[in-house]
Amino acid sequence: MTNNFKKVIDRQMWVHVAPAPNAHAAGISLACDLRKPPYRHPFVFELVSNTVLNRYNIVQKAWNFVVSPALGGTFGAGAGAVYAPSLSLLGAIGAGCSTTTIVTTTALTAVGVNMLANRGGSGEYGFRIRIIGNSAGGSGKIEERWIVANSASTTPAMILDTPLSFTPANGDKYEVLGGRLFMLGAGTLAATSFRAFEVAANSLTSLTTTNLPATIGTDFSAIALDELYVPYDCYPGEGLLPGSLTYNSELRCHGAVTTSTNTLTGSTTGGDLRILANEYRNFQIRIVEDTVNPTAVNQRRIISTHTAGPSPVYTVGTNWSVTPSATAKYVIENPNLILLRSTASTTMHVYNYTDMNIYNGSTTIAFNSWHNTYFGTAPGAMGAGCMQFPSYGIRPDSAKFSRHSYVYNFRGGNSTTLDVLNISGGASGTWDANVVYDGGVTINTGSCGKYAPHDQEGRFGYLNSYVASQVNQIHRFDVQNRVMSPITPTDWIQAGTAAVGDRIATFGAFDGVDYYTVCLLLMHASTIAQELIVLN
Amino acid sequence: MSDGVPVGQGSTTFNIATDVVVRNSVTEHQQVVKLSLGSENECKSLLTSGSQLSENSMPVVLSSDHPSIWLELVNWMKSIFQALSKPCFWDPTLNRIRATSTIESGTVTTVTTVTTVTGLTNINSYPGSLLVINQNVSAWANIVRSRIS
Repeated sequence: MTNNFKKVIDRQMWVHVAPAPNAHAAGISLACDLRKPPYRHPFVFELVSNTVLNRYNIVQKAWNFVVSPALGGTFGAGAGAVYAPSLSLLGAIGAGCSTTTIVTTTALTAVGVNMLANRGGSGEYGFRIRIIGNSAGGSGKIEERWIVANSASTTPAMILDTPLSFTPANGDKYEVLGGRLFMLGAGTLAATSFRAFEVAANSLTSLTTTNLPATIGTDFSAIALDELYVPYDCYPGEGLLPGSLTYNSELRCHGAVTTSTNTLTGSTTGGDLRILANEYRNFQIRIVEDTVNPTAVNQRRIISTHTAGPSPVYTVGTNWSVTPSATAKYVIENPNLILLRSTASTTMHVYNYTDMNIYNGSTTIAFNSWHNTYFGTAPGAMGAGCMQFPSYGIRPDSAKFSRHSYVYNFRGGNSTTLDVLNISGGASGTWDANVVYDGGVTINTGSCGKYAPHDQEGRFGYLNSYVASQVNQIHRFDVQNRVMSPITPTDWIQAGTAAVGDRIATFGAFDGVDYYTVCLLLMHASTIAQELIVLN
Repeated sequence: MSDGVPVGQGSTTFNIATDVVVRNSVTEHQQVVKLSLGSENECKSLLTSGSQLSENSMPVVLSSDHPSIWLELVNWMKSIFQALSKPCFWDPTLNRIRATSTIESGTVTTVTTVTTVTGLTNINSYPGSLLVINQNVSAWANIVRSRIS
């Protein structure tokens, strides 16, 4: 299909979809998977209360109740949710695999027959699985496939859609690329205030609350810097810089030239040819293929420093457990961290949702831990309506005025102030306070926004700057060019006493040729929901 | 015992009119008193039976400090007339009736202007909001969806 939209002549419009089961009230939050289709999980989640989690089928345009998240504390302002697709369901592979059948040995929450072969959207895709041949004597390869069948078990056998190029060995690893919904309650912190819902096996887990504010309030703004979130011109698994080599037959990656116990030197060609020194500090380097040293595969490390390209030398914070060979392949990715602003503070709360401790050369965050100084404190406290837009979806300009490492923080609290965190600006990042941008919009209580890396060159974050009864409340911020501009307003006029809540979600649509951003907006103080397909 | 009690002054006697009655088992004379009104050197007899001229009648008047019934009556009547001409459901600023009404059943022939309909529950069993939503969806199909073809 073709986008025949004629700019200036044609017009976009919001369209009604089925109303949400629960109306917006303070603290209600929408969360969505920002991978491009068909990889993204086909549901938007609506965290309603301590006991209600709904989901919206983005294919069928319908809602249903999912589960009680059983959150602790008192639900209200400060509560929220964020989705991260990586590292949600990991396990070991046993003996007896074939190129299309995976035998697993790690006990999971029991799954039903073929439950993993349909994610519930429209039924044409099951969950994506990553097979990691990193056992001793393994293939040294990583490949991804769709699950088309599975047995009913806590250790299900999984059938793949197409054969792998290798037969997985006993001791290899797998990762179901489903994702987790991370949910934060409000009020006085409790042991169950921070929980995760894993969407493949449908399991709930309480996570640490250490280093979070003793009482959660004001508002919630969180983003996931996930390794599967990539620029608009890349596919999940390729990282942020498309390389000149491939793994998994089609995913682009880079090739190492030399390595040491704590370094990896890239080649003179490929996507990291022109990177600046430390442009990707605090990002992740992941070994995606090493047929010489198979056990080196799938190692993730935080880059503490690196030199400029060509042949950049990446120094990792934690030494390699197994030094990759000089023919290893790698990708540069987001670091799998949640960045949270909360409770009227200047703190950037950083959560490590990987399965290992990370170290960037100066600071360690243990897995399942929050750290309050991994990145420096913000220049100003966040207020109601605050929002963050990452910029991993763009292709930085040649002068690198725009970068993947920039995270845009609108302070909220009835201000137009924009602060920018550069996560690579130093060991703990750097902040630019109150930066100049075009088209300032006051971010009031009730405002919310979400980044959309799917189309429009990954440039925009979409936001509702809430003003009761005002027609024009919808805007988008260009994270590449620092421009805020109004876009198509809703025909239903939002009104009512302002209440905080992350009411906007974005997801990708694919018509076979083009990718489109779709915005889902839960109307303020209402169950009414509308979608906007962004055509220009 | 006959009525009247003679009294005398010197050799002249005359009767004081009385009426003989028995009261408390005792027969006694009760003096007959004749009322008259009049200014100095004037006497107007009042005790003529039957309807008389005013000068022969007992005037009945209110005390001088008694509130005027007439004034109250006037105010009362005024209130009645005001209530009739401008009832509580009449909005004098808009010069029209102000009412929250429920039509239990029946036919509304003509509706000129409806400012806001807060809720429209059902139209022949279809949710009333579909009027707006379906129009919105149709417009979207024409304006947006048709551009992706």
